[in-house]
Amino acid sequence: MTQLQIVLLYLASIALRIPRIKERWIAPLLRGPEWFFDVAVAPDFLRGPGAAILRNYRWWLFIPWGIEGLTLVALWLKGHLSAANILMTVTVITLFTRFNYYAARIVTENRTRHFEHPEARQPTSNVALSLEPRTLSAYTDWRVEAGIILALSAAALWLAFLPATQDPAIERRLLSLMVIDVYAQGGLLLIKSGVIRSGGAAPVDNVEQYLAWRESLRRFTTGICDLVRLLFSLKPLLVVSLIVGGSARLAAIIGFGILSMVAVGLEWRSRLAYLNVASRTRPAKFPLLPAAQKARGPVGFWPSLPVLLLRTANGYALNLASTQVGIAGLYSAGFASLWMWLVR
Amino acid sequence: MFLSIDINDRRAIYRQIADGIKALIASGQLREGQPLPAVRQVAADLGVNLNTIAAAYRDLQSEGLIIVKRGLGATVASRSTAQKGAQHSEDELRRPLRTALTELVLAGMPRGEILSLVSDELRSLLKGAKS
Repeated sequence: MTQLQIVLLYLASIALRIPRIKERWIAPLLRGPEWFFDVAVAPDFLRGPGAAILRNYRWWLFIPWGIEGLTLVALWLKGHLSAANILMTVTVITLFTRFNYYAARIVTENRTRHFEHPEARQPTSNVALSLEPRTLSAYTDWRVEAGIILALSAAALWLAFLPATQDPAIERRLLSLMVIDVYAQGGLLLIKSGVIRSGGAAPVDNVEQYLAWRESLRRFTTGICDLVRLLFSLKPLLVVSLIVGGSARLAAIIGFGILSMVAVGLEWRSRLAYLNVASRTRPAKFPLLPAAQKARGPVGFWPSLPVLLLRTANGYALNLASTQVGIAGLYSAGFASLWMWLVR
Repeated sequence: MFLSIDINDRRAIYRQIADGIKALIASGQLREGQPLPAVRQVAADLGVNLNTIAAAYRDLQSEGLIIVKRGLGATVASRSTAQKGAQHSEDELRRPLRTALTELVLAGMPRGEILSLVSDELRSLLKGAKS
């Protein structure tokens, strides 16, 4: 890749991240002047102590950008500023940005609670839950599943009947890519089913709106999961086309480019729809569970509670005894074994 | 369809869940064959122990109100199954009513108000208006 192409690639990665940056920038103010994130505050809060809290929160959001900038400068100085290294840096920083946002949000909400509206301090004791069963099939779009199967089958058939190269090493790599892609599909499905399982009670005085918001968040997240699965399933086909070269290469680049743009547009549209519901929903405060009252630190072990994250006095604690943690551990171990088997 | 739980209620959570589902079946909001959420889903939504929800489902199953099939989840049983499963004597059925009426009398509620309250509750239950 030329220097110009690398710069363009990086600029494209920034452009893709702009909507998310904007969303996090305005997240505390989403519900209007009487709310700061999920904390009820006085309408003039931002003219008082809220201004400094908001400023600190926004500065916090820049931490990943600072790390990214320093990493890229270091790579440039060492002469390793390749497209692969930029993509790797952007991927890792994107993941870190998410955790950084959660940390910033929890700390900011805890700071804001000192100025919480007195009436809102009391948690609701009357909660409601939906009796609608949530199953994977209810959140499955069979067109997406058909698309994934079609894309993976097409790549497999291409590999089997029309060898892209005469080099067995490259053939083996392509096969490895296929295997990893199928394994990744399984992982994304596990994430999707975890999202479907995640729920929560609603306050009785606002049950319909609150549950509609939870459902909207669930639909949005599972939709993104499907979109990522679909793009992932096209990757082997794209790589095979790139290796074959000629018109197949050009068609694959144009096709994948158009699909990526459509995916970004769809993601942004569904995000706006979700934010619209979220901005209209009044947050609720629920009482802490007995286990959470004793929780110390960000992790804990509660085998009897079927939850991944337990809300505590200072934020959330990861339940190491939850099924999801066990599955994630097994999946990671499986991935590591598969990787070692494929690269040996 | 919603089920409400009051954390400050004197009844245990499993009892509230069983009573809530019973009320929804009685009012016709939960119909025969309708699937109920999995024990794990309800427990995760409420953030309570799996055994709490399992106990509520077991109670409902022993009364013949729901059918639990391993791997397939729980569904609302037919009324005839429920009636066979319950097999309560009249005295057994009267006992909770008597307890509730005793509470109302002890709370100082006049006879007329108690009658009107019982009648209102019965009407809303049969109409399926109460969630």
